[in-house]
Amino acid sequence: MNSTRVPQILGRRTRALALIIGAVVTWELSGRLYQLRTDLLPTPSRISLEIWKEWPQLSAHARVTCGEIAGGFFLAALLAIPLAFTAAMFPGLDRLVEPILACPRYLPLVAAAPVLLIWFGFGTLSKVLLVSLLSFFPIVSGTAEGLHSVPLEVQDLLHTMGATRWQEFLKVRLPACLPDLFKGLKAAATPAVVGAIVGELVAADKGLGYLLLAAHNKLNSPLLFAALVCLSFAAPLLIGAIRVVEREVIPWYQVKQSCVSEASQQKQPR
Amino acid sequence: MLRALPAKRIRDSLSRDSLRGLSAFAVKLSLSSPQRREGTKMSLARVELRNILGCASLEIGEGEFFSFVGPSGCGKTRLLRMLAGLIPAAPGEILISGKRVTGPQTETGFIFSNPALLEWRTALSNVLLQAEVRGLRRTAHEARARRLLAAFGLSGSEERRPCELTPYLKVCVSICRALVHEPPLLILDDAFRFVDPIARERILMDLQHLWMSAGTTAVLVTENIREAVQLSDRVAVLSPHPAEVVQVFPIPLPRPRRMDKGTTPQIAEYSSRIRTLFHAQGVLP
Repeated sequence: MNSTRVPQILGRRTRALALIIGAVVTWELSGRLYQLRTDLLPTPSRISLEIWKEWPQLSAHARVTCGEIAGGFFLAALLAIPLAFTAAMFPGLDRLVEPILACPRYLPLVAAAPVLLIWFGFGTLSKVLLVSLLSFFPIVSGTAEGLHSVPLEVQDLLHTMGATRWQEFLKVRLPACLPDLFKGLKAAATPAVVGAIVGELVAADKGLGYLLLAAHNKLNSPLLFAALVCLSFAAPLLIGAIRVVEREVIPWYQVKQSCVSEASQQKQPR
Repeated sequence: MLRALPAKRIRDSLSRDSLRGLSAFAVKLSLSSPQRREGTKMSLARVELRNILGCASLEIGEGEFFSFVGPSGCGKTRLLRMLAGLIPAAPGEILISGKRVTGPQTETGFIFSNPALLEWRTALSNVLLQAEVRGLRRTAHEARARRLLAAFGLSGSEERRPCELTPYLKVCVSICRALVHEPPLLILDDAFRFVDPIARERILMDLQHLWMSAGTTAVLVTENIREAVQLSDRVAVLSPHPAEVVQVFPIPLPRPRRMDKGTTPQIAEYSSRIRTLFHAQGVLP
């Protein structure tokens, strides 16, 4: 058993970084050595140069997109979390909400973009609403799942304590749902970015999605890739922000995770 | 044969020696135990089961430790949930201290087979959940909670969270939580299932001491015959599903019952009698 175990030289993050750097270097070298069509696939150095040159334009558009994502995401959380809480308090409402939660599994919600644009104009509002539409469902289902994760024994325990419904919610359901709530928020981050981009692709005069389309129309592939690179930071940044809040709100969950991983490491054959 | 013996007759049937032993210990503990010194007067619960488990009437006396032993899946947990008023007692009825059980009984301490601790709370605040929900005074109960935790060797671990505790200590915390509000009735649902055998010996001794000093009425269901014999004043043997009381055994042994040279053979003797019954039922080979 000892000989088969691969020694871990690098941490998980270092490995990921090494992979990315390796891929970029390979891309750059193959672009230069094999004279690929760099007008279609610019090399990383060309893209970096483009980002450097076009930074004022890029950052202005990125700011618009980020604003839409943040606004829409915040709106979705503001609606979704109280809805899930209310549903948990009233079982009748819960049964009503449950089938609605299955919607995104069957419907391509992003296709509602043209409709929203007709209703709410081509400005920022329609994009904000599309973002919240897409991120709404993961947040509700995450929160609802957490609220229902209270084991039967704990419910029995509360009944023998004579707990009121309100006490049950405040002392047990609310703290118990927080890990799943944050999972739902993180799951909603990528749909939020998708919503903003699709909204801008359909009709807009600013934002990274608009820039993508404009660059595409002029066959300006360096700018296209520069916009894509900027865009690829949106979801990780949002997830990172959620992580920071999570660490502040539920420090006990980190402790639990580390306990669990420690225990599983101990069980592995040495 | 199916009729259960009333508690009083059992008490009378206790031998003089064992009674003397019991009272001597009770005196010793009442002097030394911190629980008594608080001056809280505790009323004890008397439990009557009518038309439940196939017997017309089964009474569990005040301050008695009563156990139900039965094979898994015979409905033991269901019985306890009925007793705590968490599910309706159908078709019979249950009376606690003369009052019919119709809803959740708050005058109980329930210990579940799974410790059911809240993982975001520390050991101490898990115990204090009981006081918080009931709106009891925090200061007095915090002192009591700390003493209870210390009695189980958890002093110094009050601020640790459940994931940092061993299964044994988790069970200890759940026992403390069930005792912190001094309930007249303690309900134990196979509480030591997940405790390893050595820790189980310890926990059984600690629990006996606590129970003797607090004097609560206690009802335990378990699949472990020896554990039931070691803890109980009387043991009811249940048949496989649907559970019926086959026989009630009084266990007139002095307390605390340690698994030592003197007591072990006696406990083994009672256990083997119960085993014989299970064998007759086809539960044991």
